[in-house]
Amino acid sequence: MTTDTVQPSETARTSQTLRQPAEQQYAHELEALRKVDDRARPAHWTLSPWAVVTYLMGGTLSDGTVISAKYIGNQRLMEIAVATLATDRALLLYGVPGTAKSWVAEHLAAAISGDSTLLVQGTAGTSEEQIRYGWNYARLLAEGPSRAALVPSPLMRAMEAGQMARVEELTRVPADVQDALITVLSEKTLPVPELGVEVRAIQGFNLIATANNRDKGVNELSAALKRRFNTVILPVPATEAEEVAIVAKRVGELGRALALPAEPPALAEVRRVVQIFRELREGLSADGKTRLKSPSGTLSTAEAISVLNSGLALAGHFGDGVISARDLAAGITGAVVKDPVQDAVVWKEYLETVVKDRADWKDLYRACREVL
Amino acid sequence: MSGSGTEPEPAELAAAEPSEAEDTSAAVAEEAVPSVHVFGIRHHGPGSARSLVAALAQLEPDCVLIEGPPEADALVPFVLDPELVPPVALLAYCLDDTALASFFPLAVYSPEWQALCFGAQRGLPVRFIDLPQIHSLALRKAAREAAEAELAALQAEAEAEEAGEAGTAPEDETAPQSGEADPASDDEPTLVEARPSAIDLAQGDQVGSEPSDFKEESGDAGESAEAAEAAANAEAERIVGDPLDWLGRAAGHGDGERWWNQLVEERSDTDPVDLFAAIAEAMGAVRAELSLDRDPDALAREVLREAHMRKCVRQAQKDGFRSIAVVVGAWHVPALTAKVSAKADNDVLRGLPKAKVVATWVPWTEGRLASDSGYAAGVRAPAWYGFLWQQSAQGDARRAVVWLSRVAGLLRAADLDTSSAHVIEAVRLSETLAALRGQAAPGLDEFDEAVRTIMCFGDDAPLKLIRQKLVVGEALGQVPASVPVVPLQQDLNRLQKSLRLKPEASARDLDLDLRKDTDLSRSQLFHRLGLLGVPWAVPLASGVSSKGTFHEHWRLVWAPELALRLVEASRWGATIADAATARAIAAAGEATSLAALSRWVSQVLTADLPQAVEPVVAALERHAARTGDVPELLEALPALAEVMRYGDVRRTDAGRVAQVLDGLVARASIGLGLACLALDDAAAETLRDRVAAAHRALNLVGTPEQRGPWLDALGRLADSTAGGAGAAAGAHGLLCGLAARLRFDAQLDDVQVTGRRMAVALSVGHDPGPAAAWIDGFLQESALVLLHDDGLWRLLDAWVAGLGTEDFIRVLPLVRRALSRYSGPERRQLGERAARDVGPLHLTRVAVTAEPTWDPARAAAAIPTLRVLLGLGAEGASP
Repeated sequence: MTTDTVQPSETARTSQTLRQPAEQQYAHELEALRKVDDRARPAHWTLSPWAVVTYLMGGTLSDGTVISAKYIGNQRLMEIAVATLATDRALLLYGVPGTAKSWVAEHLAAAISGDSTLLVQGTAGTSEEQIRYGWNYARLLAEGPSRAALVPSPLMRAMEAGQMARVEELTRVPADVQDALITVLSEKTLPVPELGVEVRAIQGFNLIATANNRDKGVNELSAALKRRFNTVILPVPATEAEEVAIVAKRVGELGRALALPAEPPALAEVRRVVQIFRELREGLSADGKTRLKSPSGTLSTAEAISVLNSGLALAGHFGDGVISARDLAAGITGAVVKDPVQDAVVWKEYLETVVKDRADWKDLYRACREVL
Repeated sequence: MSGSGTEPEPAELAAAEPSEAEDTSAAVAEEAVPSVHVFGIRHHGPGSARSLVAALAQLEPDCVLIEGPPEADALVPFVLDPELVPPVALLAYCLDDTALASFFPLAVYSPEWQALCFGAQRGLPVRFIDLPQIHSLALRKAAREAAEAELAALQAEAEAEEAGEAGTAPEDETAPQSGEADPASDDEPTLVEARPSAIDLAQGDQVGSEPSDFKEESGDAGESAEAAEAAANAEAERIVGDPLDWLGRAAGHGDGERWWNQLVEERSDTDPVDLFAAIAEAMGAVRAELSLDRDPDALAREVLREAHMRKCVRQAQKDGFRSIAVVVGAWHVPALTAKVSAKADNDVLRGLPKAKVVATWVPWTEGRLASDSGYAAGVRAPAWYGFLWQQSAQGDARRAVVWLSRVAGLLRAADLDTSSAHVIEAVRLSETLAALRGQAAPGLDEFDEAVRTIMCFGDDAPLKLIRQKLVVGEALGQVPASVPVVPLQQDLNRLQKSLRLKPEASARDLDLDLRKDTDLSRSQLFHRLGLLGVPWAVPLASGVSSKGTFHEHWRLVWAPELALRLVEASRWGATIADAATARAIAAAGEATSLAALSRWVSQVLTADLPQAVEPVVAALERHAARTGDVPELLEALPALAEVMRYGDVRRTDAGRVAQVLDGLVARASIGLGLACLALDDAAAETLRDRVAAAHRALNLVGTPEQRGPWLDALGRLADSTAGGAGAAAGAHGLLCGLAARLRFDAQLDDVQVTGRRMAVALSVGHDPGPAAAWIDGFLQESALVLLHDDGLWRLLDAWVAGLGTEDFIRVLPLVRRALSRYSGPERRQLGERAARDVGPLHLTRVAVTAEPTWDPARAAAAIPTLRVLLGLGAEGASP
């Protein structure tokens, strides 16, 4: 996206959008990286692999530009992901829901191709047309099969332009539709038998797919397809400090994007939410003394972010603008109690045995009891 | 080359600042001056080894000095023997106390090994120059004793008032004198404990990584103190650490090994001159930084060792060698090139204590070279280093391809699908990763990541297999028969050969058929080794073997320290059989319990030690005659019964044992009733197990003469009034119930008698406690028997059915308690059986009497077709 050609009115409109694609939100960082990046780039990559890793992990460039960290965690994982894409192998990001799979995929595409919008959202209803191509039926009837009547999928467009395509939630896509990807990935070509032509991918094309562990067995990838992907498993944050850093950062950013009037949450509140989620996820209190039951949900970092966000909104719109236990209680309860019977028991037990005993958590305890 | 311009003065240490290449050439040019070249290496580093070989070839020294125990000088020629296959270790142990020992492991890629080979192949004098183990081990011994004394003193203090004199027991006698006799031992107490890490501290030294097994034997008293010390030292070591770590960190890497691998071990074009100069310089810098905040004990040791090294270098100069190559851990390079006067070194080394030390070669394993095994100077990936060495020796540049093909082969062998396409992609990814990280070639980390991502679909589990088999490795070294070893080891080698049992580092399971001669001999060998405390083979508890067919299952794992155990055991005799015999006789003489003795009898017989049978059985007889303790008599029965029963398969002479058994059974039968009186619950439970085991044993081997009195004794016990826990009134309910049950099972008492006993035991007159114990003992935790033994089931059923309402309510909790020991599924099955006996029985009767609900005529119509279908022939005509 070249910003100088955009009309002023359009700029105003894009700044009003709820959430901008990564390449716009971080345009200045990408630009700065492009300037200092003098290393070898694979064909059609806008940045070198080294610069892509820097973009993801953050750092300070030689010209003083500070690149914010997009992924907080193990740098080696990001290196594997980038190296995979550089070797023409498709990348499969795998992990429990909310471990920044889509987030990483989007930023990878933005940094490598400068365009993260070539996206196929995988659902149980995804059809082969959405993966390959569809037809403009009015034109098809009027003119017969022609290139003009063909509606290319994001994947096909990426092949033609030599860019990164993304498939979200690959394991939600029915198995027969998944198999349409095999030829694309191995032959790097997409035949259009109706026109007797085929679209050949140009250099720089690759595919980033995401899938989550919890859907294992729903639409398991076939061995043939699996073999064409390099699998990188994104873990849940390794330490509490890491998770706090992620949540605090993301909530700060989202707050800006959603124009919430409240102050960004104090670090203490973030810590509290993260600790609750960690404890329940691991089934053990932070001091390691109490064994806890785990609820049915995953309680991912992404959910912690959303809890804080909704708390922020509550505080901003209905409260005094400073986030409090009362603002968070409903969000936490909603995140934990996914199953009204089982999870409610788990949550109550947790409140009574852990939260109640913590001297400085009294406010949270009362607020949560009110919600239940 | 970090050689040194040397000083001709023989009395002074020849040494100088690390010099540049031209200095070396200058030194070489001046033929008249003895030149000393110090090569700082990293133990077990293939890159170091490669550079060292190149440098030695270039230098052509006339004498090679290597960091290692001088006691092993005589063992050097063996490196030329093709049967000495690394990994091997130099073992130095103290003759009087084999718990004091040090191993010096060497892999084929260890620079020391390469230096040894270099020297031996050219017939150069090769000398080891580390502090002699005579002193090291003596120092360690003194310090251990001091630590024990200290601990004893602490205990004495803790035990306060009356323990005052008890605490000054045996340790105190030795400790003070060793502390005072020893001029160098003012700071001893901790010095020795510090040793394993202290020696290895910093330089990652080979010495003294004694496996903890040995330390454990070195005296229980010192153990907790040792543990504490070890923890403290681990801390100290972490701070001081491997100097490579410091350099690695300085270079911006997370840890030293990764940095070092990349810079030295995994590269292919190291220039030896540059490398050794760089290492010397780096070590000089690190030592200057670190020497201030080091652990004083470690420092003291290091001073001794380096003084001795310098002394040896001076000696070599005196002996007239012109060009001397010194191979030491990089850490010592600055010390060896420092200027220290000979007098100063001699003063330091004066008056050290001495111990008798013997050195030999022993096979070592790759697993023990790994730092994970607790070997302080270990490397993270022994087999990977071996691979690197092999590749560079063959000049093969296709490292990635060969390594990943090996990984693929291993995964396939483990039934994990891996195609050539996977290997191709993994090679590409690893190379791309290396490029991304700015490395010339992919290293182990890159390979691991590529394998995980491509071959394992992100899963970590297969990587563990790769780590175990390929990265760490399972190879076991080999030592020629001509190496001087204790006679016991020679005997074992001979037996291993004749029985075709090769010692291996990886576990191997063996299923022996005792009817075959070879297998029987193997089994006897394993039993004998077990007696000697050399656990090369451990019996596997498989269901089959415990029931005693003619099969035995063993698991064989050879560990390097077993060689030391053999040395230790050699005080018992020169052959395995003699030693085992002597050991068994000695142990039987010391045994204090009948059960232990009967186990010895059984062991002696299974190990086929005929000469030990007589004394051990005699000891058993003596002890049995003295003891009047029925539980002890009972405990001895199962082991003896085992001997009787399997004597034939093992071709052992069990005649004597039968006599002993006779006596034991008679006395146990007489004493049983009394033994069951006045017991508390725990004692009753122990006795219950013993009675049941003894009963089983007698069922197996007992003659009618033995079983008669035993069963009578059970009968008396069953009829005696069940008393409560500790009640003087009668036998414990648990045992009465058990006796009743055993007699019922033996079909000596019929349903009436047993039913009466049950009713009596559980009737109103009894307290609930004894009654519950009785039913507990009677049911014996055997739900399955209850489920399938019709007689027992009906007995219980009839008794429950015969209870009045009041009684039922009273008894219910007791029965429930007894049944609660059964598992959930067992209880459910019992319930189902109870329901079936009432319900379905009733239904069946109905089914028989009621009219059939189907029409016979219509059913008959289908029969001809069915006959055809079933191939019975069309006999529709016949009725």
